[in-house]
Amino acid sequence: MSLNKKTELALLKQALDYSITCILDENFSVYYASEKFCTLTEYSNNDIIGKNLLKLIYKTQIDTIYNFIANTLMDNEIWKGEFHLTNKNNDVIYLDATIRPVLNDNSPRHFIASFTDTYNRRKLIDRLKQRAHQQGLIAILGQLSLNNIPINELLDQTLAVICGSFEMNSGVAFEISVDGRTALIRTAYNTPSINPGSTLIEIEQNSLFSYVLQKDNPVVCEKLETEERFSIPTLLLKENAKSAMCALIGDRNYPFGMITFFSNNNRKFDLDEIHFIQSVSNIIAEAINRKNMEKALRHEQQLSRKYLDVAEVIFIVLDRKQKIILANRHAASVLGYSQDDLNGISFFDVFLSEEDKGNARSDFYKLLNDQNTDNISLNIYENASPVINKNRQTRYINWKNSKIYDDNNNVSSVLYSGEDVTDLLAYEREQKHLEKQLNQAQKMEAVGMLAGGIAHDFNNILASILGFSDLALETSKNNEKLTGYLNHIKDSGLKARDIIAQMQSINLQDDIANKAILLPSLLKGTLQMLRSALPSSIKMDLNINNNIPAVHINASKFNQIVMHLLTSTRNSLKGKGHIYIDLSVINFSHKTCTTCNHELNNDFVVFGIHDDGPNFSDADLTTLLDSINTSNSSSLTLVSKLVHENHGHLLISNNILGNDSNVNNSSSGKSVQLLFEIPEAPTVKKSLATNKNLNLEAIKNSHIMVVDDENSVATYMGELFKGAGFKASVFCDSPEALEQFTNAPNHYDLIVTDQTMPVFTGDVLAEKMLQIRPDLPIIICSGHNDIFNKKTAEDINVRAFLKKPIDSAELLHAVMNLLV
Amino acid sequence: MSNILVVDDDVSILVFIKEALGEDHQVFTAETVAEAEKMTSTHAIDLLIADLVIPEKNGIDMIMEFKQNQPDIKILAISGGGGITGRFDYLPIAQLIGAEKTLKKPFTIAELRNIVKIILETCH
Repeated sequence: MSLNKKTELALLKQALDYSITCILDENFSVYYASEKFCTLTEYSNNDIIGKNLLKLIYKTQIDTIYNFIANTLMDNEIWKGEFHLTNKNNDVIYLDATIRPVLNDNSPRHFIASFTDTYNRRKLIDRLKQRAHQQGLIAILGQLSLNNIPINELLDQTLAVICGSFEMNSGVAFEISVDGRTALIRTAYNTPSINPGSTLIEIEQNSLFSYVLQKDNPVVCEKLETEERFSIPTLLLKENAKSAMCALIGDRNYPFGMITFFSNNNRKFDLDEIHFIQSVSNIIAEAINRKNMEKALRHEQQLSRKYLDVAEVIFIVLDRKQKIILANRHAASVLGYSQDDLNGISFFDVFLSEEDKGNARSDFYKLLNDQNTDNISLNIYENASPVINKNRQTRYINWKNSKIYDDNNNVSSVLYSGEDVTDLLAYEREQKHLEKQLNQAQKMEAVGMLAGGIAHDFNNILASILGFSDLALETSKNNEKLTGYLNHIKDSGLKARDIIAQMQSINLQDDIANKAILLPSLLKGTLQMLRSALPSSIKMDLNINNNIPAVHINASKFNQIVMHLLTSTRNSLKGKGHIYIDLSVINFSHKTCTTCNHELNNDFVVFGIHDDGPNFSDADLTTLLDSINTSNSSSLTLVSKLVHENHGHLLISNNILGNDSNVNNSSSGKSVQLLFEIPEAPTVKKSLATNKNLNLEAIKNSHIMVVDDENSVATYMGELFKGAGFKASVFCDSPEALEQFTNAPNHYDLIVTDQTMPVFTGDVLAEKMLQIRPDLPIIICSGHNDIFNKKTAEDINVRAFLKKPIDSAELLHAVMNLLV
Repeated sequence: MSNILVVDDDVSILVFIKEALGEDHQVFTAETVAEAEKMTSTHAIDLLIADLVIPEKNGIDMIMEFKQNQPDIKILAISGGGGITGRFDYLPIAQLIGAEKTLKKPFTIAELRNIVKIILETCH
């Protein structure tokens, strides 16, 4: 369609005016400038027409580019490039330019300059550059913070980087106190008058700080002088700050601090900068948080290790290859290696015996792979697994296990917690042994009581038999035959009397009374009874010296000793042989007790029992001695214990060792000799004088308090007193006794107390009681080991002081005398 | 010729002692302490022969009571050994509390007569 020329021209002109174009003559002067050109550059037509366009290039560019453009154009070439134009206000406009010569054959030359306004694009590019730069900075700062550098260093770097990129003059990082009232300057950049590290600032009500603390976003101020939202801290003013940017580090409720930047010029801050500083403060907050958490975690770890180490439980962790990756202190001490050395040791290889390794390994694999075996006990035997430690000792450990999982829910390691029950097991064994002994002793006591009762009744019957035989004998004087028969009856009765008497002497329940015993009669009686326990194929020969001095020994214990020895000798003879028994005084020198190694250099009352059976082999002897010294319950162990309890010693050997070997001339056979110390001149016993002025009624109503920490002794005394007609209260605990006494001091008429007791000893107890009742009669019983002597007794006004061993008659005598 | 009172719960002993001492002394017998007390109120007893183990009363108590009520009475305590529980032999204690002498069962006539003689003749 053809438009008429006028319209076409008008259209063309408009098109031209929409673009930024100039037409230049051959001298580069502007011949025509489009409307848009004028609007953009703010030159009016009059301003621009005739002016040299090239001379309008901005000062920054003109020197470098003027000649170049001119020459290019003169050479008839097109110039394309960035054109910095000075506008009417002398500001720079950035334009993309293409200047082309108009090719005309001979007519005067013209140039057409077309421009594109790149301002927005530039701005965008700048912004993008800046953003990229900022992102880079953030990445760098982020990286720095992850590198675990100290917080102060991170802050330093941050301040420097931001001041540099944002053209701020200085920066300060503050730490805010927990109560929010003071701020400490942590670091500062380029601040001549501020000293980091020591300056503390009060955070006042309307100050910059409190303002920032209330805001979620960073706070910027372009003109500090006219700022109305808050007051400016003096230190910032000292630094000649004209504009400032502040961001909070951390949460509003738990702020760590602030970073502040200021410039000595009034400066606008754009949104990008504000976002940037927010990001930076977030990074710093993160870094600080992380550091705090790491500190807390380390602290927790240390605490956990402490718990692990303090516990008296073994903790080890085994990885899938059964190597130790963690061991606590107790583990180290039980297993015998240091904690460091334990790391990496293959547990089953090093600490288990050959036969146990296989089972333990297969159990371990089961644990790793089987879903249902959580927290099972991997003990090899019922309650414990034996573990051989570095010192080649076997310890028994009761293990419990717990699986540790990794993130994929596979078992990564197993935690073993173990209790060393070696000692416990030993105690339990000992306990069982003691219980057996107790049962035995109780059985013996029951039998003893029964025998005692029977003896009593038997005596009554015997009294009848003897009595009437006697009477009958009197009336049968004329009948010889009858007399004969009656004499038989009487003899049998007398024999029976002896036997019963001996049986009663064995069953003396006076455990506390280690009387001075004449062994010959005791021994004879015992042997007579025990003779029946030996088969007739075993012969027994006795050589008993009747003139040996009395020894301090517990009669029933001595009988037990004889019984054990006879039994073991009988067993070793296996039913046939000869037993020789002798009792005499022998002098020993340079010999030592076989079990306790005490030196024997004295006269001793010696009870010896020898047989002609097989000898001890050396191995036998050593095993025998071992078994005596560990608490095994062999007869000889018991014998040794009983003998030593009664101040005696033991000699065991092949053949006879004593000097008085007039009995056994055979060269084979075992020999056991019991040696008892001969006591000093026996103490004179108090005569059992009777006091005719006894107030018998008073005695009957007396209440005696018995205090002794040994239950059997206290009970015995209680029953003794009760049997004698007194009232008795028995205490095994001295504080309890004192308490009862204090509550009712006049309830008790006499106190009988042991000296050696826990908490209050006898003398202390007596002293306390006498403070409450000075006239209270008190008897203290002490053993010969007590450091207590008569003098002290008188010092504290104790009425009577009895030395153990005390017999019941002596005790009752003392009691009665005191109650008068 | 003294008055002797024998207290024992075993009749055979009573008969035996009565027979043994009856020739030289006047012997009264009692099976229980109550009986014995009745007798002492009606007769003047010189010697009491008492078994320490009588069901109804503790022998020690009995001796003490007798001594209290009749301080001049002499006492011979007899016993078969331990008490009813078989544990303690209270004969030595009997002497402490007033029995002049003690005698352990079983005894022969000679032993009995001898000790009675000693008590009656020497102890005053």
